[in-house]
Amino acid sequence: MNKIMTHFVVGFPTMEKSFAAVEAAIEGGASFIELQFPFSDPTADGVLIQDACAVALEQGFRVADGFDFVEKIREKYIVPVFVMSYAGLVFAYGVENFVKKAKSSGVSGLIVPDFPFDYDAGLYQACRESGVHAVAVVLPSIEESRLEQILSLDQRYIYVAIRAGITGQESQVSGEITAFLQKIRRRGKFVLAGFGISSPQQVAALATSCDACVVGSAIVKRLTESPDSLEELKSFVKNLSVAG
Amino acid sequence: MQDYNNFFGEFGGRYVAEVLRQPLDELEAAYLDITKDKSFRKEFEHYLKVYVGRPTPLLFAENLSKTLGGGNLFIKMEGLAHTGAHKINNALGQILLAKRMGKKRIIAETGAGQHGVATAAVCAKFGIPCRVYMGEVDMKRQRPNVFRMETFGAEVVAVKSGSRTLKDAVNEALRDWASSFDETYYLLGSALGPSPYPDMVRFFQSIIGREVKSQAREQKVRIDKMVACVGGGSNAIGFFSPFLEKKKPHLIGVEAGGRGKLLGEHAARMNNLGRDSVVQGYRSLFLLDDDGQVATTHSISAGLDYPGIGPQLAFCGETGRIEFVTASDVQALEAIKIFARNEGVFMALESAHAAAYALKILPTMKKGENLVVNMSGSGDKDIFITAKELDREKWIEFLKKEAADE
Ligand SMILES: Cc1ncc(COP(=O)(O)O)c(C=O)c1O
Repeated sequence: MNKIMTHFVVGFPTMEKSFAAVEAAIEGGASFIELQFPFSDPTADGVLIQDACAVALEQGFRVADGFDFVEKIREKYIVPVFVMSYAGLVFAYGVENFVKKAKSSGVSGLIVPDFPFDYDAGLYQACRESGVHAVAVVLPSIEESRLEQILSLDQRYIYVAIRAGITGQESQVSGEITAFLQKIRRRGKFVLAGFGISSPQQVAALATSCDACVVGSAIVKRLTESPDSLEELKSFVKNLSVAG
Repeated sequence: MQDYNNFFGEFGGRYVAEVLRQPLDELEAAYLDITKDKSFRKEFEHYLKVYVGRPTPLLFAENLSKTLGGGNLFIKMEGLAHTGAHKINNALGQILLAKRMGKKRIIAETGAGQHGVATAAVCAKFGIPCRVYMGEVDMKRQRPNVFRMETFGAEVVAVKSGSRTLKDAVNEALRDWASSFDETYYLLGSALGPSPYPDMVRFFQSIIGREVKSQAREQKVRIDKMVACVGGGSNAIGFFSPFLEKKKPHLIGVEAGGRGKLLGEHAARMNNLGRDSVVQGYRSLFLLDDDGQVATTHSISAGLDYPGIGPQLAFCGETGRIEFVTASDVQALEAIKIFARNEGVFMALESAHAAAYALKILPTMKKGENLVVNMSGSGDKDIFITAKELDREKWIEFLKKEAADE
């Protein structure tokens, strides 16, 4: 049985609506919440998430709001919250300060794709010291020796982007992908699989090979098209979580 | 030749998502190979001569030197390079590298369009399909270059995200590359981005500085000061390259002062205006808002309108090897007029920033001292901006008539 991690852009479509959407997802059965702190230059994101970040920034999103948002969730729910953002936002805040603030706000882990473990400006060390998970992002095409280095880090979570490219395009779940996920899982890691996952069929296909499926652009798409249809969002998440 | 650098002090690096790690590692290996390969150098030098038209002249600006008093002014005429700017040096070097790597498709970003035009030209010459990302704002203000790229057969894609300028074009190229790197070579146009780009672009652009050095020797000129404009920094770092390890000459980088000192009114990152951060794969100084978001910038020149500065230049600024100053939009326009009237040289808006500062300091120099300014490009691409600014009525009348005739 695998779990669902739902991905939101904090402040999209508005601060209040993104909070209500997170609540709907939790009620729908989401086991993890991934919150993207919008950055001006989201180079790993497709148009949907780019636009969502732009909207949130136009409305004045600030990093401090992001941490308040996490606190608010954590006051009400026990669901683990992961924060995803870009190196620039973390670095400008101060890597250590960012991690400390994350910890005190109740963040479980940080996903900063452009801070890989060997160019991390101290992120992994700061996470170790604060007891926050630093989540490495890997791909099935990664070189074996590099994967070994990542697996030997003392970190519990690994995020597998199941295809190359940016967020937002549909992915096919192949045998190659499930084999890769299983390989990492056998090494005792908690495996989050994401990128292009939007359907119960995909979640079912991944059910035995990862610990959680990350659903991102599909959620943002729903919030873009019908920002107030929270019941639909809830049942969307429910359908995904029973598929696992 | 300097050793290959990944970091310049703390600046530089390869801060990219795992997906781009492999193509960058591959690029680095290929780049290191060609720096040791005599046959590559021969091929590069051959095309620099027969295609780019190098060497470009080092011109003594006799009239301005006389009129302004003080030192002697020289102009490195990069604008005479094929396609009208220094950008072709790098585009040529990288296309030869892409060919060696067996890549089948080229992508590039462009600001002023000069890098896009240079890339489109070499792609046509070497028979590789090419896509150029260009911010919508830049497509409008550098329209002639869009036409040139398309004439060379390139596909020009309008970037509509963010500030719709150079920075956003870089983002879009990175996004393309993240899924296309097997077949596609990303031909980056300035000395920025994740390693090995900053060092590699310097390597290909260092031909400018090496020529200046030997031309000055031939003309028996001792260089006291060198001035270049700084967008991402490729013309500046190439021009300064052979002199960086020495104490002399005095090296000056000119950033875009735009129309004011407030955030959003300029594109000057040095002198405590930019902040240390990690953006677009490299650590350097960037113009940021108070919450760490990349700020919008302004410059009349599309090529300087970028919030980050190449990591090696940022480092040389911190060590003091390079002094950084600014020139405003208005000063750049004024410099275009002065160089055109007095020397018959039509500077690109970018280069005109360097030219403006050269005009300012020349009179303060001692007799017999020599200053070389890099004319990184020619002003042909800018006439839709410069004509409107410098000769507004006649130009608008012409445009109206032209549209009516159609
Ligand atoms: C003529 C010219 N000069 C300068 C620049 C700025 O780039 P860089 O700082 O990389 O030389 C450009 C960029 O488009 C340009 O076209």
